[in-house]
Amino acid sequence: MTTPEPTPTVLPVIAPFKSVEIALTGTCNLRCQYCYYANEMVALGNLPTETWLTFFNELGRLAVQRVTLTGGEIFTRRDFFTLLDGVIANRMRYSLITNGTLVDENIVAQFDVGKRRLRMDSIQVSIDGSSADVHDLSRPHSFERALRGLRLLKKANLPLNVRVTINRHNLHDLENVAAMLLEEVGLPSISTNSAMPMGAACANQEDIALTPAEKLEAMHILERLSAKYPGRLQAAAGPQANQKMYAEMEHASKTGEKTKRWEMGTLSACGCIFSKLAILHDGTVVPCHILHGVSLGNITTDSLEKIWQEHPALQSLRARRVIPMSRVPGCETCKWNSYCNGSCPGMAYEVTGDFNRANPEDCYRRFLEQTTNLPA
Amino acid sequence: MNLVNTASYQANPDVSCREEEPGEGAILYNPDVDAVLAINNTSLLLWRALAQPATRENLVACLLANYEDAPADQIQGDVEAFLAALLPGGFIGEVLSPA
Repeated sequence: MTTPEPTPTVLPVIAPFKSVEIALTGTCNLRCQYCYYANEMVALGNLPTETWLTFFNELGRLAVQRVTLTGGEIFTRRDFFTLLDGVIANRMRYSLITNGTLVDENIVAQFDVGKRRLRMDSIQVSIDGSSADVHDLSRPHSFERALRGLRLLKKANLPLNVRVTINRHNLHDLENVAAMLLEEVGLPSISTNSAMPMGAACANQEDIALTPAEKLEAMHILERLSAKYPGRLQAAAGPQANQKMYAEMEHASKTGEKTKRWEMGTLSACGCIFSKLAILHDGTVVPCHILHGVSLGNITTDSLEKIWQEHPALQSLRARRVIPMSRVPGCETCKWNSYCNGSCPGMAYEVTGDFNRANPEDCYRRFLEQTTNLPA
Repeated sequence: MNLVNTASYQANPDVSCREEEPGEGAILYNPDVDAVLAINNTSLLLWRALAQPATRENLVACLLANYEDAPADQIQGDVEAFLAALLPGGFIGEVLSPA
């Protein structure tokens, strides 16, 4: 396959990155069916405390504003709060991503020490069903513990974000899980996405991946739920986000009025490469955790500043936004190419091996070929 | 007694400062309140001076030393504008004198 070369340009000095997503550990107490990080957890080793603390000093020197700490499961690290205090001492805010199952009264109390609570942007817990019968199908043996952890965090008034990953197991439980989380638990909002064909999900496609018809059904269900709980269902990816994107493409094609949310007609999706980096748990620097196959160096040997400004892969990723969709292989004759942005480069890379392609998972033409029309 | 003129100020040690390209100022970030402030080169001089407690008089002297030809009332105005911009977001604080 050939990739259209972007028009050669002299890239300007890029503003420094403001945030970093860090997998602190490859250790996890769960084996979720769609874990995108499952292969890396097995293949790579953890870094010791001192290496991370030195790295956080480096982030402080670079005046990075915020980090997201994820894994693996962050609370499997016995030195977790030592590491968190290293983040805080270096003048950063933070978000956490956890499965919630190890959260107990002691961990919750730890967030009241020093500036830990003040500096927290959010703590994300995943809940995939309204009962163990559903949740445990994709996140085995974890429902009761995850829900207990969630309730403890809620009671402590920490800034919770609950993620529901839509898959074949829970599609018909979405209304129940929304009611449980928004009414019974009393969360202000929840977010949804869907399982990506990466990591463990590749081996569990039959169980996990929504068919096109199921994606459409998920859109219908989420539309009903959005009407029932106005403003309380959020999505940056998955069926709800796709429906919004497709509706904007339809609107633009009918009226000529293009959305202001993104640049239509070029491979412009994803602004992450202009503002953030990600680190795997062995210190490998990558553009983001979805693009974990694109190694940019390692925090133990390479300068983050140099990587950010000069690495050819990052420069290529930034340059893709000027590539017209009409020059992207497979999209040349698509009637939607003036309105599309190619979607996530990480998924395009994962599925096609080339981040200068469109992400087939979100392709509107394919969606229309395989389903009926969008929900109104 | 003129309390305003005797007050001392100091940079909040929890605020990060990312200096831009030479001559283009800096970005201050207060993670406690998630506030960002872009400052120009003149303000960056004052920010650096506030690594230690300093009065208005000290700050005016700092700018006069760097901009010898600038009118005194302009310097005074720059210092007042700097304090007015940085105090509300907690980027700097007033240093309490011992009783």
